[in-house]
Amino acid sequence: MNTVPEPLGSSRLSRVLLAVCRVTVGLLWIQNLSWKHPPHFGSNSDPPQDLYAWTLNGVKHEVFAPWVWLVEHLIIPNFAVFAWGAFAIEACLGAFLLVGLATRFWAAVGLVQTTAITFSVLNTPHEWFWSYFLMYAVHLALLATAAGRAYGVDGALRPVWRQRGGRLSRVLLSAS
Amino acid sequence: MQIPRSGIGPTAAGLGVGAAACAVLGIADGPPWRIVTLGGAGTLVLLILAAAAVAAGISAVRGLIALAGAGFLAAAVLQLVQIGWTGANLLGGDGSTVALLLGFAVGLLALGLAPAPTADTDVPATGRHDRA
Repeated sequence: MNTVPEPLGSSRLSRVLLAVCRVTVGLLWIQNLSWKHPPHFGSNSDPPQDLYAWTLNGVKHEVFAPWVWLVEHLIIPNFAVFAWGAFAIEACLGAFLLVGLATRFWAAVGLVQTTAITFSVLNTPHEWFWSYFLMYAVHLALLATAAGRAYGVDGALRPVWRQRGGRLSRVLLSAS
Repeated sequence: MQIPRSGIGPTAAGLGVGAAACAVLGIADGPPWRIVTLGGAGTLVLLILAAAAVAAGISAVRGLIALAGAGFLAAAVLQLVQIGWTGANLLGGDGSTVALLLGFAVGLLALGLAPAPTADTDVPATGRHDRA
C-alpha cells in the first residue's frame, strides 16, 4: 500500500484560488486600518472610541484573565506605543500578504495578531465569535500552503534567493 | 540593467495591474464595499504609479521597477505623516491607504533590488514545483 500523501493541488485554478485567498486576507487587514485613526486612536474622546474603545473591551468583557492584567497594567498606561505598534503590524500584514512577500512569516504574525484581537473582543456583545476562528483558519491555510508562491512576489524571487545563497537568502526562503 | 528572462518583470507588471485595479476598491461610500479610502488625488497618484510599475515591468529594467516601488513608498510615507502628525490629507486617504501603498512599495522594491538572476535561474514565477 502506498503511504505517500497525495500532493496538494497545483493546477492553475488551485493557484489562482490560493492567490485570491491571500489577497482577500491582505485586504481584510488593510480595510481594518480605516477605523484606526492616528495619532490618538480614540483615546482623547469621551466616550472612548476607535482602537482605544476596543482595547478597553478586553477588560470589560474578559476573555482571558492574564490578558486583562496585561491590558490594565501595560497596554493602557502606554497606549500610544501599543496603538502605533498595532497600526504598524496590521499595515505590514495587509501590505505583505497583498503582494505575497515573506508570506509564511506574515501568516504566522497574523496568527499572533489574531490571538491578541481574540483575547480583546471575543466576549464583546454582538461580536460573531466565528469571525476570529475563521481568521485563525485562513492564516493557518496561508502558512501551510506558502501562499505567496502562487502569483506572489515570493514565487518570482525564491529561485533568485535559492541561487544566491547566503544568510539573508536562507531567511527569506524560510519566510516565504 | 535589464533582467535575464525570469518572473521578476512579469510579476512587477502584474503588481502594477493589481495597483490600478485597487482604484475600484475606493469607489463605494463606506463598508463593506469600500475597502480602501482614496480621495481624487489619491486615486490619480495610485493610477500614475501603477502605470509606471506596468511600464517598468514590461521593460524589465530593474532600476525602473525599484523606482516605481520608491514612488509608492514616498506616497505611503506622505499619507502616514499627514494622518499622523500634520492633519493635512493631500491624498484623501487613511490607514488603509498607507497599507495599500506600502504593499506595492515593498513588492516592487523587493523585485527591483533583488540580486540579478543569472541564466540558470530561468524558473517561471509560479512556485508550482517549489519544494523548499
